[in-house]
Amino acid sequence: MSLLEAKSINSFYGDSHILFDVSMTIGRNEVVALLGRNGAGKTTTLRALSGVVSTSSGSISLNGKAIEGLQPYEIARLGLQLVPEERCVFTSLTVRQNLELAAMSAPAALPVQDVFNIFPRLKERQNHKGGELSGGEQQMVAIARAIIRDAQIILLDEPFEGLAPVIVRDLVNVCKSLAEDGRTIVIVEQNVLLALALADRCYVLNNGHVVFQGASAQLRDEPFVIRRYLGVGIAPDVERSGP
Amino acid sequence: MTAGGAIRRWWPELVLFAVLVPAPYLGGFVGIGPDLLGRILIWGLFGLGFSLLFGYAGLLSFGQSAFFGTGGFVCAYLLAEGHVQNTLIALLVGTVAAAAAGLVIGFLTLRRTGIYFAMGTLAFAEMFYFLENSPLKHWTRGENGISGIPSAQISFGMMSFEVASGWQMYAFIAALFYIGFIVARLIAGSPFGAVLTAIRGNPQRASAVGHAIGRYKLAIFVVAAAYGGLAGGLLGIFQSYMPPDAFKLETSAQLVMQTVIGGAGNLLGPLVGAAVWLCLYEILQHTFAVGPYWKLILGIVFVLLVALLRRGLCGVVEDVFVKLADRYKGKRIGETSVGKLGIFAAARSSTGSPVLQARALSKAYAGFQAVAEVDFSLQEGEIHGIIGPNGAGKSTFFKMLAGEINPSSGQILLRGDDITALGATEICQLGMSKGYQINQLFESLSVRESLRIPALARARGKFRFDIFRAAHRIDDVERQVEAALTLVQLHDRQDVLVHELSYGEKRRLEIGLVLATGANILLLDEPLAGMSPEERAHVIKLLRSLRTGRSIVIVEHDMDAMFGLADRITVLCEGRLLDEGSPAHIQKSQAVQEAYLGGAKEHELA
Amino acid sequence: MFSAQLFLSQLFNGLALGLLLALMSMGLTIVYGTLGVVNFAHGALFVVGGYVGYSVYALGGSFVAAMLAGAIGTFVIGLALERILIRFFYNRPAEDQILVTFGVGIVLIETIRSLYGGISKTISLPSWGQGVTNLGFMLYPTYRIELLAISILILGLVWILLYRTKLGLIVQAGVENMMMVNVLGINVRRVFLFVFGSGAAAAGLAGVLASPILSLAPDMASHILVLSFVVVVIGGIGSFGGAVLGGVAAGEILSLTSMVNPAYTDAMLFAAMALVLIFRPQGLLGTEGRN
Repeated sequence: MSLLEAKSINSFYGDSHILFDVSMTIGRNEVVALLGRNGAGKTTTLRALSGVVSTSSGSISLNGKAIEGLQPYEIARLGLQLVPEERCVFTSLTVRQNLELAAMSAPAALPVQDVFNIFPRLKERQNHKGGELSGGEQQMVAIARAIIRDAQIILLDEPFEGLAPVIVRDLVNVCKSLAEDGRTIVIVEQNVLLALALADRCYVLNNGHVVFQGASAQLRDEPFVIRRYLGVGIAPDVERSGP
Repeated sequence: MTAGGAIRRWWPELVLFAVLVPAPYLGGFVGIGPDLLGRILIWGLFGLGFSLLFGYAGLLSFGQSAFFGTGGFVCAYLLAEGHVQNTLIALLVGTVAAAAAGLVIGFLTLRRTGIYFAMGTLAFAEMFYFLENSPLKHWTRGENGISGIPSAQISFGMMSFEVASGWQMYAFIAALFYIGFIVARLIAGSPFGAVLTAIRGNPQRASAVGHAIGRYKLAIFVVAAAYGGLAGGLLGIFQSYMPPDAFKLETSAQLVMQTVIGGAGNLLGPLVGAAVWLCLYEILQHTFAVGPYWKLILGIVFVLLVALLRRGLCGVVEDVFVKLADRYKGKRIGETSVGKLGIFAAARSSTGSPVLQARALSKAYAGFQAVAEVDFSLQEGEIHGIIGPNGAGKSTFFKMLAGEINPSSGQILLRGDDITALGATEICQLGMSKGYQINQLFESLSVRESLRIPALARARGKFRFDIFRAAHRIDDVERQVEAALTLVQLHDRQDVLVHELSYGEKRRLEIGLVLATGANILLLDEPLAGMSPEERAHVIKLLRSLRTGRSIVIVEHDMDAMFGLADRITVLCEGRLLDEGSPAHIQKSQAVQEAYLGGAKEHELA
Repeated sequence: MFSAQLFLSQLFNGLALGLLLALMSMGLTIVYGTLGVVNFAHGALFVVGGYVGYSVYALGGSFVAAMLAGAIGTFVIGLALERILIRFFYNRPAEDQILVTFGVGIVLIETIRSLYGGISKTISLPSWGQGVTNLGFMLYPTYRIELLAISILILGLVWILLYRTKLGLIVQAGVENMMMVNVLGINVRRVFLFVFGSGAAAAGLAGVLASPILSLAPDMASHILVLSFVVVVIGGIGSFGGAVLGGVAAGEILSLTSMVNPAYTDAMLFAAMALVLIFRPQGLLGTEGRN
């Protein structure tokens, strides 16, 4: 049984139809990348999976249990953790307090030291307030909050955006070791190369539809797909419509 | 105007007249005397202004007592001290005094909205109560109030007569209420009134389509204050005594509660609410068991109404009528001919020079450069696209062009004129308007009424207090609305309320609002957002048809659409201009491809 | 003529009043910061607390029992209100929230009036609060010193709750971003319930504490409401420090003005609020945040 399964989910923002019958399957221990240009619906997909936005139809199941319609906190307690694009580190709380907050409702929270082993920088900065941290450090806190909850499946929304290459490299290594430790990761990423290096499988979204799914190696062999849906495309026919 | 047309237009006035005249006779049968009726009408008059303020413009003020008291005390003072003999003159002075107070308080409190506005009006009302009680005690007699107001003297030229209490006083009050109602109806049905409802529905959009909403809000605040002042003056004359209670918060509170109970969206709502309030009070007083609990009962009724029947008693009646009317919906009478959509004529025809230009436009936030030194130019008649990967600064750049946020540095030129810090309202009046990614519509208006709002700004400029026209009878405006309806193909949906439209229809209305402003430069933010493939095709066709006479800037993520539509494309990346050129040029650009793939070079992916 | 003694005594008065206002406004500001709801029933809850305390006190209870009863009574009322009514209004426009809480305030006050009548009640000082204390440099009413001490104690407890407990951590984070708190697995529905109840309790407790000085009448609710708003506007939304600073500032303004001309106290306070609105609209310690 796959860990997370979404079947034909449709999601709206007001009455703006964002996701059209999106289906995906995430297996245990997998790293799956969600690719697509901005506006394609990647963030909305992660939000739908974590309960932050509601779905008008379709089903989502985690470990076989139906989770569509549940509150975000209920889904988080079942082991699915969203790390949003904006990071949302609490600026008036210290690093340590951010982690404490995250650990509060976890069924089996990890000791803080375990998290500091993964992110030694955070140990140095543990008593600094969220607002005093650099972008990279904030991203570390955001990911650390998911780790300390011992989340089974972590949804990362553009974790490397806006960060210096050196920091990105460190974070990528952290992600790799998380995967090796047996955690399941779904990652939204604009850097296609990076995404394909990290992920076993990937889904490509365009205008709210899934237009490609397969192993990363497969996508590499489809420059047409990459150009059309991830790059700036080829000159289309004038009358073409559809996804 | 035909007889049928006249009745359809004036029926509320006719019905009201038919109710007011026999009311004292009929009231006698149920034990409601002319005094109680007079009191109800005074509160109804007070409420006419409040209904315009809150029901139409959406401004919840808890401080109307300040104007009720001001008008009342000024009028009472003049009459009691014998400075003025003519009652009507005294009332007029009181009303003007209240309006002046409204101007001052409105100016100070309307700088904030929502909760802060309500709190501000509350505080100012308390201050007026204090003023009445202490520093101005000499004139207001402090907590005693002003007594000994002589009975009303009306004089017209040589004739003068005294208004005795009882039936004559009722007639006097009813006459003033009737006049007040006619004026309020004029305001509500005027273009000024239409803009007010737009402000309540979506103030940002009302401002963006060219209306100076601050002036409209202040104007209606003063009007409501004037009504309050007139009602207060009447109260003093009616009772021959002006109580300091007029300034208390309880007075403002009673007005708010009566209005909500009766129905805030209806001009007669406050009258109905006052009738309920005062009659219930009378009835409950005579039922000894319940007597002292009358306000508790009213409080519970009020809470229930706010929670369940938000539009009050009149709202319930209106819903019933609407359901009945739907069944007998007749043909629309008097179709205006469909002409061309009026577009702002370009101030100067500029062949060769760009119609819109940005020079080194930048926006910096604390420690973060959203847009850096971007140059942009739009040629006459061009469709120009803006694309870029996530975080490119497109929406910030677009907001600066539309006048929604101020640039940190750089310039924006509209046909050579600097519009850099002008603001969206002014920019719209100059012929450029923006369509939003997330629909910014007037949800409670019909499609036709919605399109009228920008058309009214085009025809009347950013502010006009034109209460003596009918909003829906300005030919120029109606032609514009018809043309816009036709262009976005919403003609047979024109009487549908916006919140009942499908998403695709709403998106088209969104574009329709921009067109109705008469803009010749359109800024469209993701016009295809959230659409099904079929709707997408429709809108692409629509966008193509809009070219004639206009220049368009589009931000879009749908690459197929973008490359099919645009003549030229600008690519932003990390706040900077990356490349610019024809669609073919952009598609061949390695740098652009890499920017989208996150820096990955194509060959690395093979 | 101003003597140093009068001045000092008024300064103390201002502090005592100010901390009381701070306690009461604390409830209003935290509720608005986390739930986004401005509770127009806040003044009514102050009065309800005062009367509950009065009843317990009159039944022969101690003043301390009265304080507890006032706080717990209004806490329970707050919980009930949130569960039955307020939680349906989180997504409704601000005007509707104002109207419904305003209506609730009316209902509460009229209930009090029905039960207790409209004439104001004087609360006698507790035995340990009577008389004057010699502070060395001046004589000062004992109860006011104790009020000062109690207020500091309670505010201290609130501070500990907010900054030293897990619950407080949740509330602090919630003021910033309630959705993220939700995403991190915390049951925000229960948080809302608790915060609203606590806000009510703060008002109720302040009502009991103030009753020996202000005496009790149903009609004082609107004035208390306006005072709380002024404090929140001056101090800033959603912050503990803001409520304390705003409260003390308001208390001192009221107290010191009464030295010069008792009739102008409210006017001076409103003038101060107007100044803050013009020059620093987010309040002395507020953040731009919710508007």
